[in-house]
Amino acid sequence: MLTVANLNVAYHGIVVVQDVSLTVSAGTLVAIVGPNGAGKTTLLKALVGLVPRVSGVVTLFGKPFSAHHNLVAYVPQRSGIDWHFPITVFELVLMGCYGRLGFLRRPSEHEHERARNALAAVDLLACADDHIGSLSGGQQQRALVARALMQDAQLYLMDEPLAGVDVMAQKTIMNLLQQLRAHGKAVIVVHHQVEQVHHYFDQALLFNRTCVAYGPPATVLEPSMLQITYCK
Amino acid sequence: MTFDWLTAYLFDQTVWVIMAGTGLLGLTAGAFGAFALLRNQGMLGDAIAHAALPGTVIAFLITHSKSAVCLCGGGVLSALLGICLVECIAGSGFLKRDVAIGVILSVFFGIGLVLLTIVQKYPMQGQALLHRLLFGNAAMMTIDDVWVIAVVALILLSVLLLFWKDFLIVLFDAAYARTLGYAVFKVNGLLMIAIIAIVAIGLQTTGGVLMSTLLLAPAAAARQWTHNFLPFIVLSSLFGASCAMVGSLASTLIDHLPTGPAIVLVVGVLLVCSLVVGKYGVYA
Amino acid sequence: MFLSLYLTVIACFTAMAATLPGIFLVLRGVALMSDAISHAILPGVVIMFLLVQRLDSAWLLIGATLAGLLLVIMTEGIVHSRRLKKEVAVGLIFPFFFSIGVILICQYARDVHLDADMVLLGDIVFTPFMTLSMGGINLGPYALWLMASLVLANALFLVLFYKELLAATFDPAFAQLQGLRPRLCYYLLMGLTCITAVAAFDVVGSIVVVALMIVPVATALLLSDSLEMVTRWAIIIGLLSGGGGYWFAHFFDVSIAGSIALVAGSLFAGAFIGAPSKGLCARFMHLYEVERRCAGAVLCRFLARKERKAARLETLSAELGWTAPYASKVTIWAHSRGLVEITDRLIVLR
Repeated sequence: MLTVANLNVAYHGIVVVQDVSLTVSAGTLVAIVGPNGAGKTTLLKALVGLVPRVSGVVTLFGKPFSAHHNLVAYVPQRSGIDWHFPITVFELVLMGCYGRLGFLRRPSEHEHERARNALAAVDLLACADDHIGSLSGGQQQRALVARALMQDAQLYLMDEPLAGVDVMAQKTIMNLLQQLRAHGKAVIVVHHQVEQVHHYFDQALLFNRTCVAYGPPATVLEPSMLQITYCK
Repeated sequence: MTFDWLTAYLFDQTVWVIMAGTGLLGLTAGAFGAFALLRNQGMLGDAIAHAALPGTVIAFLITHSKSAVCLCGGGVLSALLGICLVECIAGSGFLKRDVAIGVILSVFFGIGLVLLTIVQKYPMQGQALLHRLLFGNAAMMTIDDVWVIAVVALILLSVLLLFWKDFLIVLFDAAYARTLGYAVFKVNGLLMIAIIAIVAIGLQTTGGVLMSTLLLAPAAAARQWTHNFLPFIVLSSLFGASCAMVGSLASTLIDHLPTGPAIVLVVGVLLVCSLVVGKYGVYA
Repeated sequence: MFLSLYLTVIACFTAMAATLPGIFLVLRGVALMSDAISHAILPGVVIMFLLVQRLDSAWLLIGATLAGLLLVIMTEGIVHSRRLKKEVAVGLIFPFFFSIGVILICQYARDVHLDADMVLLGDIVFTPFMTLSMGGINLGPYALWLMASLVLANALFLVLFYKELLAATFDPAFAQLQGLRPRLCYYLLMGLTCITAVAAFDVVGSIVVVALMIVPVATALLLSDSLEMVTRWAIIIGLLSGGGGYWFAHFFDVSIAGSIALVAGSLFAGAFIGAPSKGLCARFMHLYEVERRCAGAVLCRFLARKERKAARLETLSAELGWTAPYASKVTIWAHSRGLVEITDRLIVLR
């Protein structure tokens, strides 16, 4: 589904993502694992086009990425959001459909229904009319995931969706991701806890500025490989 | 007997003209001020008001006309240039946004002052022009001025009705909006042009100090009463409109009370009350 | 001749007096407080005038300073209450102060040469004629002495409190822990700013005072990195703005205050475009060189992975996602640096 070839990203002359080439098929859960500052967030942002690339060809279903806005959902880190903004949880989730609607059209009852379903899927329906500032860390993360669900995308890119999230919320989110996989979607997740990757994910990408290893967790998450990744 | 005096005012057409004009300005400025507040750009109205000066003077020099539309057009272009330069300077990363605003605001105003002294060589009053831009002469508002304001307000409010959800998503999470395919630059640009337009049109009639207040203070007051987006916009517009009308009325009823400062005071009282007793205010 | 000299000196002193506190205002991130203060001092001036009924009294200065300090305290209060953010709070309060001032003038001081125009615009031309007399001896223009004393006061403040200001600007919490009284420094700085704004508005008007407080410092920040160099550059540019502004106005017969702001702005524009490492030109050239180097490195690594370490231009476009013109540019750059050879439509790694 997703093909990346020769992706390079530099920031002020310093290469932060180097020569990344990989393929992700439909119905796969991929975890990107690596130390802080390794460029994992930059990699995700480069895939969705939020940062400029020095080189690289990224295709989704064989076509250039930019032609497929509707098929990709991006879940950023919680810290980048202004949680004091005057909107409710429901309004936050509803934003996920704005891309499909385009200018001038407003969300209909159908979209409202879908938003309620998305909130129910992440177990936040009770908080739908609350201000987003009143949410806990785990609830905030679940709200962002619900927003991505609204997009009904084929490919989901999530930046540290389980960071600072309580165990119950983690389970909810991971169950959700597994349901997405069952529906034939591909999900790429930047994940910080190496131990959980075996349990939940099909593929693991060890990343520290470049791909150290990519494959099933059992083969990739070997001590020697981890050493190379984390001790560069 | 007091009723005669009161009815004399209420049936005076000029009073209604001024109230209509300032009310419409307050309504539109309040609505867009909500967005300006969400952008956290505090001195935006002030920056626009000062940056509009050179353009207004140049428009006057070229056309020799003091018509509101013409001067406003010059002001809008000049303010737009100023805001673009602010973005350039702040975008370079070496200077913070407030410094960039301060540079453009004061330098543009200085250029305007230089141009004004050229204007003063003409037999038309340049000093009066500046005075009008800074303080306005709302008391001299004519029915024509109100029509101009009404048309501009109608256009801008239609833009708001059509694009409010796009403004919302771009202000809240610009990066996410980009992944959805939004042309964030264009949406931001449209919002800025709308804000500049309402400040510029208000400059002619009510002056710069008032417009920068009408842009921010009703929104700041409304923020203390609600956490929901659409109620916030609506409340901000209503606050703006009502303060403007109350201020105008007070200015006609009380001697030697200029309109602009009167409206500012009314807004100030509202803001203080909201901060203190508002639902999300200090004593909540 | 003497007149021009006086005016030049007054302009330069005013510029210096304003630039000095401006340095720390800008660094602290409260540059726009200068704009807020210069509008907010009006009611202070008016109330004091109504009390003493004289325009040339020092009480006006005191009233203005008190009004300015009140503004600062109220702004800090709002920021502290966390109901509104700092950028919003700065621009929110001064219109009310200003409006109160305008209303007071309209109600009680309509006939006096004290109007808001004067506050905003000033008039340097009359200053040499208001002279200071002590013991029957004419000591020269009042404004000259006032501005000179202000320069001295501001410079003294900066020198004496240098390390406190430095610590308080960069890390107020740290400064508090070290017992450096950052809040006291902040309020002293603001007090000096108020006094300077009042004294200078008579000369150049409040908006140009703002220009003198912000623009030379902003220019200096583009020209250097260390605080000492920034201070020196700011003073030099302030002096150039003051003196240059006066002579520009003299030559073209235009507003002196406006010219000062214009010259300051031109110097800023010059630095923004041409500064050695931070100017637009320097940055473009640097970015261009950096971008080419990165792309060249990518090209070399790509070729190294290929069979026979060679590839055609079309392959570069297809596999690296470069447009054909861009691929040629990078190849030519790499060739000029001796990294690749171009033979017969093939690009070969050296």
